[in-house]
Amino acid sequence: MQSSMRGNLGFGLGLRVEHYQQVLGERPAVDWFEVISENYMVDGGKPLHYLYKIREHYPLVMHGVSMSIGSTQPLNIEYLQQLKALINRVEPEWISDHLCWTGVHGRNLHDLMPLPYTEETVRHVAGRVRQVQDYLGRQMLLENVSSYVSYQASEMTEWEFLAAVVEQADCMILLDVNNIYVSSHNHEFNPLDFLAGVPVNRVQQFHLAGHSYNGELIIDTHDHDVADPVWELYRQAVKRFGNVATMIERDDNIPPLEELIEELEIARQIAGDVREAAA
Amino acid sequence: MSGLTKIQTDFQSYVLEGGDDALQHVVGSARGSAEQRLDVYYQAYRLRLLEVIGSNYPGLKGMLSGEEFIAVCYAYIDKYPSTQPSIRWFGSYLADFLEETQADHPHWAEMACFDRVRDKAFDAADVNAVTVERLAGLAANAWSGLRFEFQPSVQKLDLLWNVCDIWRAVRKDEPMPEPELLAERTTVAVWRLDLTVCWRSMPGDEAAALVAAMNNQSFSDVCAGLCDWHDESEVPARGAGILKQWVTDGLIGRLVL
Ligand SMILES: [Fe+2]
Repeated sequence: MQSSMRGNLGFGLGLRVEHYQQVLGERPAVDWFEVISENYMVDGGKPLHYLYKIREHYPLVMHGVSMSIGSTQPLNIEYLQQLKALINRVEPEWISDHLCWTGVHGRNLHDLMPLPYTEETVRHVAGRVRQVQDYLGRQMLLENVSSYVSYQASEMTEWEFLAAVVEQADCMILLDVNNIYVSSHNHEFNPLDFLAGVPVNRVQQFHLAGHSYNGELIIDTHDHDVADPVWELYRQAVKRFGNVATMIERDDNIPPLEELIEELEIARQIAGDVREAAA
Repeated sequence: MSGLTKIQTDFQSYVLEGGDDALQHVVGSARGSAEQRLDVYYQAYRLRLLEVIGSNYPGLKGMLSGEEFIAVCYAYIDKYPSTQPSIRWFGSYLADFLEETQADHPHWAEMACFDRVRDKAFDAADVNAVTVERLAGLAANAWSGLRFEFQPSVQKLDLLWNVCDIWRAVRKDEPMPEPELLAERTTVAVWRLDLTVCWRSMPGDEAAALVAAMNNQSFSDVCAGLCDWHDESEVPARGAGILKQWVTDGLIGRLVL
């Protein structure tokens, strides 16, 4: 397996139905788009029509939500076949999914459930990532999720777990800076410890997103602007990991494209500041 | 059972049916007890599926009151947990479920069926439709044995209720007509033309011809079927008229000679 993609795409956005026409009509200054793989696992019609058109003008990366890489039920071969077929048609720069599980016993909860951070889980997940990468013939990225529970069974921190999985699996990391912040609040750890524990050469992409409070817990809702403490954490992440492809995820309460592009400017600004300060 | 399997089994049972074995696996803190933390997943599961049914079944959502819609969806979510990687297919059994459970509101199932058929047409495979010119260019001797491959998006459903009128009102945000039985059972064809989902109701003779043609009957057999509806002398003109209409609508993907 060829290793270490790196190569920076710049600053991107999640491609959303609401913006299809405008993206095609106006070709806004967004460096690349991320698409949710499952939304395009269909036979035809509008989704694929716009996907292919937009692909002609922008680099794309594919982001999945259903691989369920940490589940104890067997990998879903049919799903992987569909994923591979879509990869062949879209030719994305890279593909990613989440370090989580989404269901067992033939059920799908359509949510990103956290894993217990144990040696058993590391071996289990890393073995499955290797199988997927062999099948797809390419490396993939795993994303850290936001979580609201931690398990009695855990034997290590989330960042030690993430680092162990990607080393054993030889895959890359999609580091979601908002998710680190959300989980650090919910589980009361220092988010800078998380950043310090992630191997620098494995980080291929950053996610940024907004969140909401639900009582004392923070929920990863993707329905707001990126929050100030997350921007601050992003600054620290750029300091540690350097020039890494960055994008903003917005899935709910979707604003006009212009607003997201403005928000993306903040990311550019922060990354630029860090670069200048280092020079 | 491995530790991981046990945790996932118990966690899932909490989310699906509130099974409390999961509580033992989870660490609580001042920020949230084990129960509050698991409840985040329990609630999110239902809300997410409710939202996806709402977006895939806009007619049903608009026709029912907010309370009715939520009650129906939550009952469905409990009865039919998702088994597919893509959330897109989660509502597949909704129309059947409504038929089984809502005998007092038979038009609910019909509306769900109409929504589902439209939803299927939305992203069915793309095939270029046969053009009127192509049809007109056929040799005279090709007609009798001619068969048709329809667009993958073409579907038909039989309705007893005025759900299409209600659907249109919902879509246009206009006052909804009262649910009413139609004068007779009516066939509605649904398909996609380029990127737009289209539908229209069909007179009985055309609906019968469509069933025959979709069952791979030849054009002459389709026309023979029209003799049940028309005087024999009128059948050739009517048959040609129906076929031309199908081609104009973009229903036919390929002529099989
Ligand atoms: Fe993310």
